[in-house]
Amino acid sequence: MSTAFGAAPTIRADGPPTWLTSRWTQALLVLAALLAGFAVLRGEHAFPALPEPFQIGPFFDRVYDWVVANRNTSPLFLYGFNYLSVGLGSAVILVNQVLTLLTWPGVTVLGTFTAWRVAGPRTAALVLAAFAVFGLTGLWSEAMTTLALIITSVLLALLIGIPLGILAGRNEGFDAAIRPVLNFLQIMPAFAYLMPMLLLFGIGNPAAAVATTVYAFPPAVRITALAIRNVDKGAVEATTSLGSTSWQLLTKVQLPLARRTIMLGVNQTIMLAVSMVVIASVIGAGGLGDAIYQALNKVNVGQAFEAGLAIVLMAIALDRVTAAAGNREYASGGSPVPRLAMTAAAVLAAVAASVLARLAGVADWPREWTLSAAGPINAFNDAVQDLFGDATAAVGEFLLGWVLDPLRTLLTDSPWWLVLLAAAALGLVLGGWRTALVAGLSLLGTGLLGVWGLSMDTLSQVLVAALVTVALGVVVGVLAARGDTFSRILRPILDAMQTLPPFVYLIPAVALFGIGRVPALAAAVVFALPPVIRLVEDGIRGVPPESVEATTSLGSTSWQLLTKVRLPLARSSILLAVNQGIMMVLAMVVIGALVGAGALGYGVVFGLAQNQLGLGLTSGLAIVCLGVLLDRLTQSAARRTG
Amino acid sequence: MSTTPGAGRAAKAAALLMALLMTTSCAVRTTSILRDPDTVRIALNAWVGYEASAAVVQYLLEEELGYQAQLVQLDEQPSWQALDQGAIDVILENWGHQDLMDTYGPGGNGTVVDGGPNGNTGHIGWYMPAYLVEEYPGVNTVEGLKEHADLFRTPESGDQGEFLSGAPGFVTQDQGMIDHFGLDFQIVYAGSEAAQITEVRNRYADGEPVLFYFYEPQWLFEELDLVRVEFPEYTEGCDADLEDVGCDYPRYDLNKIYREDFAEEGGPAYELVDAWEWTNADQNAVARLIADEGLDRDEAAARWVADNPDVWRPWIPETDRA
Amino acid sequence: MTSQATETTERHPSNGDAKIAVRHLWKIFGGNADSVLGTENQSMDRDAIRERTGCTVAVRDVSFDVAPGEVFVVMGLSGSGKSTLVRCLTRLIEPTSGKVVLDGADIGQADPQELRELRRHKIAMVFQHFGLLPNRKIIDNVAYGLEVRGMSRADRYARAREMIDMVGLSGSENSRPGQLSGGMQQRVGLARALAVRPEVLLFDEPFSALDPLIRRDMQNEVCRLQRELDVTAVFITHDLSEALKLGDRIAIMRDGELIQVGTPEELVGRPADDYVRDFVSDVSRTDVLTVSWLMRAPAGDEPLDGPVTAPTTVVRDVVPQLARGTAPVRVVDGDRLLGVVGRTDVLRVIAEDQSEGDSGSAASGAGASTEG
Repeated sequence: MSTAFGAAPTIRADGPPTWLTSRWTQALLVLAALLAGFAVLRGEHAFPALPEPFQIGPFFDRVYDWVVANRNTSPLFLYGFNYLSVGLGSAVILVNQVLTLLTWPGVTVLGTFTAWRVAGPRTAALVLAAFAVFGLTGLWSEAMTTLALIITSVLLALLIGIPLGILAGRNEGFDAAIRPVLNFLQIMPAFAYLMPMLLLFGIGNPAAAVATTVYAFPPAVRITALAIRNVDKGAVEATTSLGSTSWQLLTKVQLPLARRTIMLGVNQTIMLAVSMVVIASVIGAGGLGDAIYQALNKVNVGQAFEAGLAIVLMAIALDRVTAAAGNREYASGGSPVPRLAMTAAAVLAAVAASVLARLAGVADWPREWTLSAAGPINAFNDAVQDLFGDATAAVGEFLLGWVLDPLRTLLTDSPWWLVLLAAAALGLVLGGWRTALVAGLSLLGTGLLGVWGLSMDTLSQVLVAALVTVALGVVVGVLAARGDTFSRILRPILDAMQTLPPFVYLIPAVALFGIGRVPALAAAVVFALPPVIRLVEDGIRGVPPESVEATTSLGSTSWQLLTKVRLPLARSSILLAVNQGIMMVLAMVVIGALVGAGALGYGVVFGLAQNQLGLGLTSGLAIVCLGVLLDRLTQSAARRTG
Repeated sequence: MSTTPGAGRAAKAAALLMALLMTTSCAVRTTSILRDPDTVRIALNAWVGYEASAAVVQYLLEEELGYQAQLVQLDEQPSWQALDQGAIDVILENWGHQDLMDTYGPGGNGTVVDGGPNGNTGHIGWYMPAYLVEEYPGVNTVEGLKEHADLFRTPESGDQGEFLSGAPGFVTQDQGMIDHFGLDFQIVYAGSEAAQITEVRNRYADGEPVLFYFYEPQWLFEELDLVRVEFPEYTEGCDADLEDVGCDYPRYDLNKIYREDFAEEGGPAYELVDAWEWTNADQNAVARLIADEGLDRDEAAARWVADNPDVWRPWIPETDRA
Repeated sequence: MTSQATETTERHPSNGDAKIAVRHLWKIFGGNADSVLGTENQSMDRDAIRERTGCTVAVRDVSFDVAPGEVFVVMGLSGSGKSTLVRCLTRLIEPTSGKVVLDGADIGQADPQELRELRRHKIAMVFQHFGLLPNRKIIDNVAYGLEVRGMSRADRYARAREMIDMVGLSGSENSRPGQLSGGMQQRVGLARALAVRPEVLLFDEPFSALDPLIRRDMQNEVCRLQRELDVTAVFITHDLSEALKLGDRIAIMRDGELIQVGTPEELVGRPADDYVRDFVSDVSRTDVLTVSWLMRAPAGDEPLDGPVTAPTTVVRDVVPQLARGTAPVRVVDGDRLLGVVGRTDVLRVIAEDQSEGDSGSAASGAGASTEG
């Protein structure tokens, strides 16, 4: 700022100086108050334990015991959950049987042909490559198990999600009612779903299918609702004016016009399902997730990576095919008769391929045809560890000693009411009364769940990981926005980072950072970076060229251009990136517990492993509370600025 | 093997569908979940020793008896629940869990039965690298740990010594032992066995101190020279109060747990599983092939089966012996 | 203002012959319309009502009749409520109160089934932004109204082809809307509306999104089709020349109210208030006013041997006749002499046109003139 104007604020005699009214200053003041309170009251006023009858954890434990004792006698199960359980479990098995029946050549022919018809030769080649990797890594049958579970869950998710989305799209009231439910489901960590599912629906495929469905259907609802709502109002009005019934309006106008956007929802649903089936292997879902898990048990990074690669390819193939299905223009497609013929031809070819395979005695992928990259990958991993191990260990120690520990101490040792007040005050500063209320209540929620201390521990880790993620994300995003080559190179890496199951890089993280909160942080950063980078890059690329041109013509340096024009104008994208980054980091809380992050994540993992529903569920719900808190704070910050 | 596996599978699928339709016409028990009578579903707990056992049993069921054997990846406690729900048929290597036997066994739900010992003995305990004992003689005793607690400090454990715990699903009494013996140690939860082993390997490679929860039989003993910390021997009931445990872990005679109906219905598969019994050395041999030599578990099983016919021959039901 | 509007409408009192009769129609957007209607707030102006109740009055106490076969134009600037008004006629927007009577039946009382039947058979609408379905071929767009009625594919395609021919789009049946120009798309919209053989056509600014030249073509097209098919039309526009060209009668709307309803001549010749006067000030009277508007009984000394003309001749067209001789033009209906129009009568009109052209909006005190 130029000195000539430096004194300007003091001229205003009326009202407080402007720096006092700045939201960021106020936020800092809140922080200062928290620090002062911590200094005075350190270690006092821990969150009081609720009297026994009101404790939530023990309540869930009683529910657990009841279900275990009554599963095969209570009508609720005999005529309710068990139906779903048996039906779903059987559906997955049937799909798997069909895939097995087709044999690998049949599945490959069918899959590649479909991809070619829907998305063209390039995607077909990708699909072919994915199938090749399934076979070559010796994971064909695991991949089919996973695919069967994905198919079943996605169909179920769409069967539930699209009708709900249609309802929400056509009915404001329903939309308002279902929105918080969807928010809850999306913030609830995937692991925390597993336990209740396993209890209600039974271990293995049934629970895995339900958990995957529940995890994957929210975007189908949201995007369908959005798609229906965004259908050209004029078309709806015009067709209404011609006397369409509500059903005709839906089937002849809204659904066809919303199809492309709905396909985007289908695509999102599939992606979430893919990530969930990996996690579901913990409860006996089998498949590729299982392969990863078992490779981890043997601390074999290479094997885990192979299975991870198979998942990545499956995800990318499914993504490309569904994305292309959504993007197909209205004009294409042709008349239904040749399409039917093509489908019949494809099925025939697949059957022929499978018969041939049987005749040739290669119905199962021959073991001799497998390659393993595990050795080289392990060697590479070791080399990386040797090369960077010392440096990363030093970084880890620094983070732990200077950032993670002090912050954890501040949050856990401050009086609980002070932390709660600080959160509410931040909400007030950033959003307003409503935000303040939600922030306060959600923190109170963690206390009432009986896991205040663990929640503060987790909160400290999430904040630090989010900070690192955003810092890295902004830097890389800016670079990517300014260098097209860099951006092009980055894109497939980000794709892979987003679809690679986090399990795969847990062991390298431990190898580099030792056990504890730091490797968990590293894994969370890797997981959360891609969307942050993408949003920042998009935001900066979206800055109107006129603004850049105008400031360039005024003689700005490129640094000035960045700090004074590009970043400020991309601010709302960046704040959205902060929000997304935090939510992604939060999603990794449970996974981080697998490498020693402890706290709430460990509660979930331990609860699941030891059948302690109370601990698992209260920890999961507390993560939801933290999610609501952080989501609200960052969203209102973004709204205020945007 | 059937000559027309495709047709056989199709018929099977149709039969499954029929079974589904029939079962859904009335009350449904979880045990009525679709099950192929020729498939044996074996719980697969997370450690490699268990996997070795499961691999050999699976191999024999498939190659010798013509069954399909499906390994279902589960933690210990959910495995019991899976037996109760009818989702699996057998746990091959069970470590204790009297409480679960009370819930699900004949005295409780009556859905699981004890299948008797599998021949392995298991011993959980606290372990450290042998080089530490050389450098600090006596450190592997209660007194030694008290004296050298600061040796085990890490950034994660702060100003206390670090005790590195293992997978969250395992049986533990560590906090009770720390409290009873007044050790200045803090448990750091590795969160998974994989993470724990990685950390131990790293520290071992650098010659650093590390104290951790571990158990035998375990393949890592083949790779690292580890020493057990000496605590007072386990006596019946000394671990009754998990918050105050004044003894070492017990020595478990590992046993098999069956789904009640699996045992009831019998058949060659049941007979094989029931007859299966081998030693820690047998298990370690297979586990090493899997973990150290990176073999697939069925390759490892195949190799062991080829080398040890006299061990497994007696397990095969007489009617099926070639 | 309201009184004047009422006055004009009352010159066309509701009778059994009206195709559409609208009575005291209100549309109020916002939560509590009750806080406006039937209270003292009702008579306040729009802004005051919004301030007090948070409600927006879009249509305020509107009444008019449309005769069978008539083209009734509602004209107003954006935000005047004209689009809301036309939607209220078929309850695309539900009126807050008032009545819309079609062929003697109150549309407001129709149950959903009856309303659909009405929309499927009697009333069709053409929209400003066409509202075509981009995923359907042209022929399927045109056949849409027939399809939802349940007509067989062959029948509706036959009818749709006929309509496509009629609007001059033959050959485009299998195109998709995205492949057509704006003008062609609106022809599709028109064909779609006509396909159901409606008795009433509603147009909501159908041509304002089109280029001027295409707009003129489309206006001619509508004139032609309306004559050929003899439908009743309600036409919404913000373009005065379009209103004058198409309308048998024109209603001027402002802030949700009808200010004046009348023939083009009545609006131009006798604007109800300054607002209307300002509106029509740029219109050349000689192009709009007919001789029947100017004619008077012949004065005693006037020669009655001048040229004859029909009463519907516009003033501009009698100028050459008057220029040829001094005798006034005789306005005759067949053999009957209705009156005469002399040079001074016509000159007065021309003078009015010119004075308004010169002094801008001098006649309306409200209009802000930018000229000195």
